[in-house]
Amino acid sequence: MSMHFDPRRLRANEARLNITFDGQNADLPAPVPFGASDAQIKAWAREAIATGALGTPRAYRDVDLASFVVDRFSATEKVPENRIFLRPVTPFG
Amino acid sequence: MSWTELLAKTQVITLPWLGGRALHDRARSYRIAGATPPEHGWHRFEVGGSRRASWLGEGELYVDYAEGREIVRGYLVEQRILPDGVDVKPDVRTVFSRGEPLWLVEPGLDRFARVRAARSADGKLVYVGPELPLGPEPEVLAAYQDRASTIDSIAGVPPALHLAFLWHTLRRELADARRRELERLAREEAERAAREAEYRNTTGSAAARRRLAQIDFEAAARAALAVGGAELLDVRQGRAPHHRVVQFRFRNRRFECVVHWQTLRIVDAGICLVDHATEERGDELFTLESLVAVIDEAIRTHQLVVFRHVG
Repeated sequence: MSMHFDPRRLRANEARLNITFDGQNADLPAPVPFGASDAQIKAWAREAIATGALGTPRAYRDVDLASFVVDRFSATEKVPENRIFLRPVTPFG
Repeated sequence: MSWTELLAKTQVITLPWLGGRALHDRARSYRIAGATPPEHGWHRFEVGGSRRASWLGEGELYVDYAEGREIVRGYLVEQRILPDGVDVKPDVRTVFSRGEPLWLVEPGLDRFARVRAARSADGKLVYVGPELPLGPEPEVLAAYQDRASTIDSIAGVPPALHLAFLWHTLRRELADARRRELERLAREEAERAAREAEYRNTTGSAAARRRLAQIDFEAAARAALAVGGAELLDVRQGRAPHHRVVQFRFRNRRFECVVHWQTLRIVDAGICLVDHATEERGDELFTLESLVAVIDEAIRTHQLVVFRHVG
């Protein structure tokens, strides 16, 4: 079931979690603590993907995010909220 | 009548209570037994032949309290009294060293009010009433209200009143400066809030960006890139009908990629994302939002190889 995106202004210790998985992109509806560990972030993302809470076209039964990368970007003047990106590992050439 | 009845005779007295259990009247001191008053002020106490006093309740300023005590007259400044006899040279920095704390000041007194205080047995000055003005107070008040910087032209201003004027003027300047600072902070906060609101309205959620792409691909691409901190430069039709070529600026460099116009999924990242062990291309693993983070990592780790050069 897809949850509503919470558009409220984030606190300084919160971040928006953006997830790229299987070529799709979604935001976790609720903000997450900016200081959350990689393991916590992957656990939340795994649960959201598996339950279809991200609103992706389909839910996934086996979600393996072990190799995924967590990028953290602090708020800037241009982008005024902290962001965390969870994405596949990069196969740089 | 027995002598013991004389000893047991009690009376009610009204005294200022300024904390603690000690209570000082002119000739005697008492120790409060039982409850003490909840607040500083004038209170009624029952006293008997002993030195014990019992609190009865709140009282009113006892007008004869000053009789037989040292009287101090002067100007009221911030719960302090500037006595009439302060030094001739007024220096605003000395307000608190020259003034003496004044207890139980009546609320609502005028600015530059002259007051009378009586010294209690424990040395504290207690307000006992207003004092007649000396004459120049209305002119000094008018000068203060007109924001005059000096009162040198007013005749007969005693040093204590001059010092009070300087203090009130300084206090107002400090309050004005604080108000301006708060206004500046509020303005900055409003601007920041407006920027944030614009950001949120522009970027929205990933799902909203994809809905937006159906009707305005350029706006959706701009929002997706903004999430990663990149700036959209241009969009044009790709070779395939559902492909869009997107040019953007990130970390002071120009990049180009090709994306699927509905999903914002990367078709061609414009940088090398090939796993040379398997020859597998990783481009389609990413979307316009996460491509920016990928480029950021490539720059940080010195692995950036650009395929599609712009400009």
